[in-house]
Amino acid sequence: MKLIKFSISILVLLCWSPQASGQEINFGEFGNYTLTLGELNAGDLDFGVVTRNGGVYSVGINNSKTLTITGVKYLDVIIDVTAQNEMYLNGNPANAGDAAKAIPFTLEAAFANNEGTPTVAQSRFINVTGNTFLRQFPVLKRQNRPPGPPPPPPTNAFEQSQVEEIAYLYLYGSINVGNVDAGSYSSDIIITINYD
Amino acid sequence: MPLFVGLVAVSLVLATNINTSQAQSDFSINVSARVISNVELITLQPITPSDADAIDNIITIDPTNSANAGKMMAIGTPNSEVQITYIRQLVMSNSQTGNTITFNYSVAGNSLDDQTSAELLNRDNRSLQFNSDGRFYFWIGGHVDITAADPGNYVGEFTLAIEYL
Repeated sequence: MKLIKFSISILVLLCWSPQASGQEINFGEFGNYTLTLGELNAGDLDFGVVTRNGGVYSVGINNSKTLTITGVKYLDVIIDVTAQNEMYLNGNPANAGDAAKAIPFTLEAAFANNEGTPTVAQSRFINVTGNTFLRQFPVLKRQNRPPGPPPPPPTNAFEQSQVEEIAYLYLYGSINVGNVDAGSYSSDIIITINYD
Repeated sequence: MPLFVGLVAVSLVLATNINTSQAQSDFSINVSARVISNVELITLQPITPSDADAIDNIITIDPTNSANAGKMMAIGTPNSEVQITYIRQLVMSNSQTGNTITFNYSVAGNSLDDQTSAELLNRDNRSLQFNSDGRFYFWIGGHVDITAADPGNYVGEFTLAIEYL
């Protein structure tokens, strides 16, 4: 009976050992850590009612479209944002480049990841080029002290809610209204977030 | 001893497999604005009160049917909804004697250029709408008591405000 058990053990070792020899653990890539993007304020990034030939209209950070990023506080997230350079009459992309049916739009952005409820006052500006940006930051701003030990790997008893924090992403900007047709203008801003 | 080594190898491989998946979240929001054209108000015809219309020293001009009613046309964004407000009373002075009379305005509006089907407007009218050509018509009437009025000219302005909703 003892001899049979020994044979099985050897078989398992031979099967798995090639993979085990080169293994690496990245504590930022545990698949059972969830990451949630939500809205702090409902609705569009809305410039409201503007007048033809009205020039530049701005929505500042205090009136921004604010998204919430809920994730594990000691992990980094990568935010990938792409916006169109114009808003189109009736949201129709076929109007792109048509001076009478498209309004130039310039995206601006910032984030806040301070402890507790993030605030505009503690937000950090994001450099946006061509209405797109890729930015990495921790869900919770790291403190001015040496890093602690790595977190324990998740187990069945792991509860993410105990290590969760919320960071804010502020999206705002300006439009330049020229001699365009009256009507409703819109376009999309696409946001993708991942853990690093 | 061989049994111990085998168990360690299996547990490491399992940990590596957990690392391979990654959380991701996608989102799309709209950026939007509504562009309106400036509203232009054009006076097509002034109010022309006449002593001949006076009954018991009160001149009345019905904006829905009087030919003496004033007429204005507003031009704006086609099909857009607007709120219209106007001043109900205007005190007018005789430039020579200083005597005053009070003109009480009443206004009718219509998206069609048709006075007879125009509706009387209250002081604050919401949800009125420019027609598909971006036009809205007003007829301005009212009544004034001239019992104590001195002979002479009385001139005043009618103020009407249009605001997009």
